[in-house]
Amino acid sequence: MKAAWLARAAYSLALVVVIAALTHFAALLMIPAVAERDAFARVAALAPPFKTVALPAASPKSRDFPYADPAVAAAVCVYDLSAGPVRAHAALGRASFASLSFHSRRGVVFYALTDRAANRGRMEALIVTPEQLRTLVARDDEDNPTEDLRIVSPTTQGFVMARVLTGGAGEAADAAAQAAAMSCGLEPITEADK
Amino acid sequence: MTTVLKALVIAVAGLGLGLWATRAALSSAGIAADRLGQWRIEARAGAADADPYTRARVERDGEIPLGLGEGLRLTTREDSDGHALDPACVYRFGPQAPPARFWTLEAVDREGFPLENAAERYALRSSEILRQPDGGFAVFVSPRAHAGNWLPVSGSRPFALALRLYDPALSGAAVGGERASAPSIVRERCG
Repeated sequence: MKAAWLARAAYSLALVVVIAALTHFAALLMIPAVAERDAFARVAALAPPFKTVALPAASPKSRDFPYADPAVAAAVCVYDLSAGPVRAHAALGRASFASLSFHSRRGVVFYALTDRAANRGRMEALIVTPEQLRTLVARDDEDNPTEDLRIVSPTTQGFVMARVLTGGAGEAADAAAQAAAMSCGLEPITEADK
Repeated sequence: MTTVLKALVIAVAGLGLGLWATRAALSSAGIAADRLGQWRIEARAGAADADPYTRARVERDGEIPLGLGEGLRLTTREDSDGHALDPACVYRFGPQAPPARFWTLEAVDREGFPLENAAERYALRSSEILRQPDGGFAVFVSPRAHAGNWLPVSGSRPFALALRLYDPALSGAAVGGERASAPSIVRERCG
């Protein structure tokens, strides 16, 4: 009698564990698809497309972007490739470190470059879809190779983020101005191949 | 009737346990990460092939991760002896950091936001710390002002330290031989 009861209890417990495991993995895989407040959503709520907006400095009070570095001034620019490729560029200043990173709609950093990779005093890249890249490559002039750094975005929408280190408390305004000087704007293909 | 009730209890218990485990896994520090000494390296937070735990945590929290080409964030919730970091204690961080062009050290709460402090000093930069002639340094993490390099902490809840390496010589994948440069966090005294 007791053995039968034990067996039933063990069976119930096993069922609970199996359901728990299934729930756990289902929830884990669903979170990225259903998360409404992901980084892109938070950025898009602050910045209209193609407009550079400075992110609030990290502090205990601004709680939108966890793990943002308080020693870094940041600005974002949301892009949309449905009307053509988008050129992003940032000028270099006196900061000891500056970078541009490219974030997809799904929160993946698909490219990043630092001021070490800067060309003639600026960091610049052309963001394209796979189709736009094919069009551009087909129109490339072999004798006159492009100087553009072309980056394929895995999603049509996304955002560019500029980070500039503030060397010290007194340099926060300089760094913020340098970060906000970043821009992203449409560059229709018809003009790109002129 | 009792069978239906039992099935219901089992289903609810299973669902509850599953959701609880998911929540616990996403807020704990221990899953699927490269480590440097006691430090957890968040190298893959922004990667397309990040593990599902990292993916879910980043999407849910809204973090804008550093790209691999930019820098790395290292995080720890414990001192070098494995005790949780307590804001009532004085810790000594050093004597070196992993090689990078620039680094910053920040005290954060469990959600990743800076700790409240009157001086509004939320992070220390590698460029502003005092060093010994051999390049070694000590940063004191404590609730009250400390001579030398001081990073203030506050509150009563356990905190974490975030060390960000910009342009690191260390990549997320190749940390095996770099243990020697993992900075230590030694508890000096408490209260």
